[in-house]
Amino acid sequence: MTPTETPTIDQVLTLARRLSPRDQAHVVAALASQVAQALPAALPALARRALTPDEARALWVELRESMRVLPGPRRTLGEQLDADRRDRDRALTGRYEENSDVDA
Amino acid sequence: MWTLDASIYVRAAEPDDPSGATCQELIDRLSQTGALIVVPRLLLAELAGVVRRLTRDPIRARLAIDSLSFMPHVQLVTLDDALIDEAAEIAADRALKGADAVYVAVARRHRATLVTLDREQRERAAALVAVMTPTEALSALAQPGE
Repeated sequence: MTPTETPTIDQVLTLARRLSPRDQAHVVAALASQVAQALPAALPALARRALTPDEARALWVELRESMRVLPGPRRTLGEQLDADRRDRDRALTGRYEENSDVDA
Repeated sequence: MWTLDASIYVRAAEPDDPSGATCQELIDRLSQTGALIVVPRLLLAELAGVVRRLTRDPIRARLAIDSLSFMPHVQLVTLDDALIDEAAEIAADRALKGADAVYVAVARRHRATLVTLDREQRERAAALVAVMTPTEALSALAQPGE
C-alpha cells in the first residue's frame, strides 16, 4: 500500500490493532465525529433499532470505557450536568451568563 | 420502585468521577434485584445533551440514548399533561428547578424512592416523596427484604 492508495478496511484494522487501547479509542472518537457529520440523516434510523438487554448493557459499558479514556484535564459529565442546570436556572431567573466552555 | 435522577446516571457513566463507582453500583444492584426504575423520558435528553456537550461527539451521545432506552427494568415515563401540571405545582410550591420537579413528580406518581446527588432536590422533595442518596439507597437495598 502506498500513501496515495485508498486503504482497505482490513488494512486499516490491521494498523489500528497495533495501537494502544487509548489510541484506538482516540481513532474511534475521531472517526465517529466525522461520520456523524457526514451521515446525519442515517443516524435516527440507527438509533431506532431495538436493542436486547445485553446489547443495552454492552453499550453502557462502552460509553463508560470511552469516557474513561477521554483526554484530560476536563469536566466530568456530572460537573457538566451541574453547570448546565445552573446555567439554565440563571437564564430563567434573569442571571444569565454566556457559557463559553462548550462548542456547538 | 425507584426513580434515579440524571445526576446518578451521568456520574455512573464516568468511572473516574468520585461518586461514579457508587452510582454504578446502585444501578447494578437494582438491575440484579430486578427492581423497576421509573424515570422521566426527559432523562434521555439530559444525558445525551451532557455527553454531547462534554465530548463534542454526537455518536457517543446517541450510544447513551440507545443504551438507556433499552436497559432492562428501566421504564421511561412519558411526560403527559397531568404529569407536567404536577411538576409545575411541585416547582411552584417547593421552589424546585423545573427539571428537578419533573423527577419528583414521576417518583410521586409511581410511589418510588427518589435517589439523587442534588442536595437541594433532596431537601425540597423530602416532604413529597422518599428521597435518598446513592449510598443510602445501597444501604437500604442491603437490608433483608429489600
